[in-house]
Amino acid sequence: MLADQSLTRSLVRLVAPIVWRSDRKMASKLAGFAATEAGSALDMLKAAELCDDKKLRRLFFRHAMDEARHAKMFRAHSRLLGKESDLQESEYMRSSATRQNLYQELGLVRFLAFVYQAEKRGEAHFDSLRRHFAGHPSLEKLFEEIGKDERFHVAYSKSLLKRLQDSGREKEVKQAKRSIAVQTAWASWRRAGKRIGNVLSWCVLAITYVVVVPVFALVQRITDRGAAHGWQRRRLPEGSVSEMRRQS
Amino acid sequence: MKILGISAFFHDAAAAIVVDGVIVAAAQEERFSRIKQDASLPVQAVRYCLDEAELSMAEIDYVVFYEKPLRKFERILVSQLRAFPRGLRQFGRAMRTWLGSRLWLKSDICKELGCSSQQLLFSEHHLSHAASAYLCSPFQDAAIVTIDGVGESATTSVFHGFAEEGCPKIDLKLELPYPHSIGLLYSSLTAYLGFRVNEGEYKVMGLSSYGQPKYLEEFASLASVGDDGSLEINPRYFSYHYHATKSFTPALEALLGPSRIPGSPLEYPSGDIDMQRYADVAASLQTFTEEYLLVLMGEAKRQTQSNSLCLAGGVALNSVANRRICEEGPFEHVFVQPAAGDAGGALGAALYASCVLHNDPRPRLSSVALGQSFAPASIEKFLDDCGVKYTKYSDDEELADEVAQRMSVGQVGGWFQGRFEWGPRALGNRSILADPRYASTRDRVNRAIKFREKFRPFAPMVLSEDTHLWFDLGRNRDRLLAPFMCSVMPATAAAKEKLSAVVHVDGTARVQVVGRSSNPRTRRLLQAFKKKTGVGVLLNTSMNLKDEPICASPAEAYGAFVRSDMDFLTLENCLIVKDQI
Ligand SMILES: [Fe+2]
Ligand SMILES: [Fe+2]
Ligand SMILES: [Fe+2]
Repeated sequence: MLADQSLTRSLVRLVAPIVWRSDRKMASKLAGFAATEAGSALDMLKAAELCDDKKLRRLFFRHAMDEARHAKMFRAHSRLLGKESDLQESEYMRSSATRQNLYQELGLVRFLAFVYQAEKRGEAHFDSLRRHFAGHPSLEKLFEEIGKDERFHVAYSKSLLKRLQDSGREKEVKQAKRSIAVQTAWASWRRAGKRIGNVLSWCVLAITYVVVVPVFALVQRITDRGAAHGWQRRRLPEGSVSEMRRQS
Repeated sequence: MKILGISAFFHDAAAAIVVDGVIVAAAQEERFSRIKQDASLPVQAVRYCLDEAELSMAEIDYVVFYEKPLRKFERILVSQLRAFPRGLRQFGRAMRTWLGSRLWLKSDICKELGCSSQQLLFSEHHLSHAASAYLCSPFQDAAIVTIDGVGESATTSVFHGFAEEGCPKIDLKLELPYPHSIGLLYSSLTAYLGFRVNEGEYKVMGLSSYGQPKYLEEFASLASVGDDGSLEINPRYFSYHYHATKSFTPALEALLGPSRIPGSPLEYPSGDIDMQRYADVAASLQTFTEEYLLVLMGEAKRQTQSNSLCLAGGVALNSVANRRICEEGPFEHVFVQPAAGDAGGALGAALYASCVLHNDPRPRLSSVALGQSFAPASIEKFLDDCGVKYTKYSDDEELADEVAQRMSVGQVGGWFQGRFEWGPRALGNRSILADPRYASTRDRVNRAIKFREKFRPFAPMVLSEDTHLWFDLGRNRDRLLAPFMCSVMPATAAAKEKLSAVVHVDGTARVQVVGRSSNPRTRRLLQAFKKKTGVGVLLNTSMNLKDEPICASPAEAYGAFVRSDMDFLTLENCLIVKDQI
């Protein structure tokens, strides 16, 4: 986890000057952050809705409200920095908040492990950005303020996991932490694998298109009476269960 | 019979359950997954439908998919061969989708939904649309016209619905083959105007009011309309049949001028030549579509000799065109399936199997409150647990008074009541409501609550007994559409003067008439607002933020409330006020 954090920090240090190079880029990045934060707000709210432990519910709810506030703050700063037209473009591209339904998919323990790890990464990311923007009239303060909440998110998810651990569910918690870490790494591998798979399948299909499809296209052209146009008359097949079992 | 209908894999997946001819539940998958127009297999919507009907999958007689997948695949293959060698990217995309999953759809559905292949049936795309409108309309005999982008291979169909020895029958009269599609023409122009296809069509309709139909001659060369209501697309201008991402060709831009860059500013009234041109193109598209639909309705009348008309398919969501069909078309009575898009196919597929195949009684669609509801006690517990301050009203009258008072001083708030709506429109169950009298309220809702374009209009809801005061009922042939906001009405002089937040620039409004038998709490609110202001009308927009699906649960409603500038939120009988939380 520590290695993970320092990796995040050095990566941010490396790419921040490029990614955040102009007001326009900043505005677009901040709009993207706003969407991500709004997405986590929706996930935390769903968790609050679904879990029935009062204490957990309140914590998830507070977390959701924090993320919703962050989304608003990011959006406001994005508007301040960007030109209206650029912003419309970037907001158009990624304005909507998407929920990932993590609570339903992961179950409580793994969800907590996920929140803990994701918040820890987020905290490191925003902390590096705070340093990167030291002296900036608005962004230093923005990241500092948001960072405070992120630290709370890390702390509460950590203590919840600890409490679960202490209540005799140590093995389960350890397993959850490991499986989430593996899952995160596996997801990035899979994304990479999928990309390679995509390229490969594209190649196969492109070759098929150039080598095999022409033959069929030729046959089609010879036998084709031209694409139909104008009204067509066709009798609907007799409505019966056996007919409706067919996919064609 | 217990029948589950599903639609999926194109856009707007949904599930609907019909038990012995009663529509027990119907919902779009997006409301559960929170992915706008989610097209994936509606696993969560199915689970909800079964829960609502208190049935297990094993107790379901049939699961009906809304179209014939292999017939669709055949159309795609043939059009790929015809387009060769221009369609490499679309070929790649289509093959990956079909070879990767779609061809194994039957086993996928069975596995994911937990049904057996014996339970699974397949309807036809346009037949499902037709059934979704006709079988829950009040008509015995009707012309049914279904119009969308494309189904398996048809793009527009004319059916005749009638009863034979007490059993409903649906006969196919005519169908128009792909790629000749008014729906795809509309979508291509939507893309040309810089909006997202399948969701920007509403924006084009709103935009059209700011322009003049100056390009009708040009549109006549885009597609020709036969006297018999057929339509032929000129392939020179369109590429949707072979291009993966772009649906129009450079020839279209040569004809109408350069297309609009998505997200570029649109402000009206405008002195900008290009902005005006976009509005004029939108106006020409809208007029061309309306004129075409009127010719098509003439043909439907000739084919069926019926006095009544049922409409479905995505194009039937065009409320401006629907008004003209009612006023100028040849039918005395008109009914539109409120979920006219592909979601509605799920309901149609279920109804077809239920009423036509098994002669169960036909339902009447008197309300679209067919989605999930939440018990007031669970809402209170949620708010208590989360530490949210709220006021609980045990008297509906008091709640209505308080909310009406807040709106009358310019506040805007969420109104969450009962089951969520079936179809794309919020009709007072998951709505954001406001005072309709001031344009400034409209601008605030656009800017700070919905975060959407300034030129887009808002719709009013009105007490049924007051409708004539504010809106011109015309021949009143759209009375079956009015409860579902499926058509527009011209505003009266009084409305133009007093209801500036809900009367569009062209002097019309997409009205929802709230009758005596519908949603009692919403009606009471309208009455309370009338008592305070003399106006039995409210501005009504769906409870969602930009590009998000309409909220389903109280937590989602609360999420939209805190992420926007809404002043208050009503969750059943609990009122939450922004400056008190
Ligand atoms: Fe955050
Ligand atoms: Fe956070
Ligand atoms: Fe359709």
